[in-house]
Amino acid sequence: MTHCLSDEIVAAFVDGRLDDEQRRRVIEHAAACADCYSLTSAVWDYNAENPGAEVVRPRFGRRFAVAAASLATAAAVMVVFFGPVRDRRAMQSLVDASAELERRPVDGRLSGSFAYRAVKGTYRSVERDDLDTLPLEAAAAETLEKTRNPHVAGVAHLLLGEYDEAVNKLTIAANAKPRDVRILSDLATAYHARGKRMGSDADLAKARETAERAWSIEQTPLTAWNRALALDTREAWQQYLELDPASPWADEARERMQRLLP
Amino acid sequence: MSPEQTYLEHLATIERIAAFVARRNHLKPEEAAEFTQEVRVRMLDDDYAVIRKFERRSSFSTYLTTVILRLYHQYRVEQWGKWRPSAEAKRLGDKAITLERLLTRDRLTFDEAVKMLTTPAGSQYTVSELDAIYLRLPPRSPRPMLVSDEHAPEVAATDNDPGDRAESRDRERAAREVTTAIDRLIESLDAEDRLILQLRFWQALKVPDIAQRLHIEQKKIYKRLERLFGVMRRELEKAGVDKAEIGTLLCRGDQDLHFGAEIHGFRPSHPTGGADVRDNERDLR
Repeated sequence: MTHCLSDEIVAAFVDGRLDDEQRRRVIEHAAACADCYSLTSAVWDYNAENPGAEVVRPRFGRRFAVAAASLATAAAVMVVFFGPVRDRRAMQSLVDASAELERRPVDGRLSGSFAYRAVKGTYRSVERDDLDTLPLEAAAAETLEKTRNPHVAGVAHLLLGEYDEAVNKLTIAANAKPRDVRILSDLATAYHARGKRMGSDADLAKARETAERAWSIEQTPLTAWNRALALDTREAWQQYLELDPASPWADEARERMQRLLP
Repeated sequence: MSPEQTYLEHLATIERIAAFVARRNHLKPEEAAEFTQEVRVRMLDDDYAVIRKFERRSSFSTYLTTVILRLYHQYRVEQWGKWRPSAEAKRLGDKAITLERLLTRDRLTFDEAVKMLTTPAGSQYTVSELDAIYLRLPPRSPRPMLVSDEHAPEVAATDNDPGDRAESRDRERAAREVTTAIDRLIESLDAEDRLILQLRFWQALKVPDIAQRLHIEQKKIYKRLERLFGVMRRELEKAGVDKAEIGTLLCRGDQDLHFGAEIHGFRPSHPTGGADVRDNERDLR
């Protein structure tokens, strides 16, 4: 019997973050070692009981991939040429509608080219005469009718303040593309918005985890903003300002940093 | 962020995981509180060593879950006192240890243990899983229970028909033999197949749950199980297991494939209820 698995390895295995060779070794060990099997089973069960935090990356066999590839090619041509165009248009309609707003609906910074707006709660919580939300509402409803892209749908729900649906859609999108920082950032924003509305520590913790994951993949103003928002530390806001020292977002970042004690 | 800040930020998560572990292992409220306190203390040990050792190879939440479950494995040894689980229970995992503890240390009947572990709804235990575990635990003789003479007639009146009891025990014995044969077969397979079948038969998990845990596509698991069931059918037939029994065990739909006693119309005879204990007591007279 080889040495038992470390906590790090068990956790990485459960999260599906090991390469094929490491995974094979873990399975060999867990199938033969009662303690490690029991430990792994229990961690699986915890994650099953607390879904949403972890990303599952299905593994496909080589033969399946080859067979599927030819069938997928034709569909892919359609999707590659028309799917993204349709999705970009849908996202753009949301961006355009949001440009009409005086305040942005969520604290987080959404992917896409949403213009900066100062934050003022969720759009449903503000007065209609203070914020003309009709164009956004119409655009979001139209988007939700047309799009099949869970990322775009998630952003639409987020803009409408429908955070449960936003988390669901964005989680689906993140499962399909676990290293897409735009999706992860938007998912972090959705968790953060829902956490603040519901006073849910669990959601806020998920916002931090998801934002950290996006940040660990790519360090951009987008990932830096949502990470700083989730962590809300001076250090994190400072890291944002190092990437974006001179924009309206940077001004807000300074304000937020100044509110925190050194 | 300092380890202390990380600890404070994740304290709610830590406590939630500790509560999960306590529920899973059916700790009493005071034991659960003690364990949660123990977890907090261990997190602070050696200047937050647990947090400092985190290498970001997984999500922090999964890492904490693993660490806290490991802490429980250490903690429970003290909690058990003189009681020790069987090697079989250890092999089957912490749920089996909990079931065995209730049956042997706490002297519950199987039905009582099932009721306790599957209540309330949404509990971490399922009846089919407990059935599967039960058939793999070594049968232990229950502690004899003295019954005064004044209760003896009542005891006799509540006893089942001796023929029924013998039949019930025969069925349980047969089910145990089949599960032993299956487990022996599972041990001879390669590691990934073994793990899939363990999750299937020991934890009574459905294919989508197995696929999610092992990060394997569902279709692949279905095909794999189809092949493995073919192998198992042949081997069990060779071992002399009744064909109808094999069919019952392997060919059921995804929803109810388990070794549950309910399929065969019996509940385990070992400590299932007062009647069996009283039987034993009478045999000792």
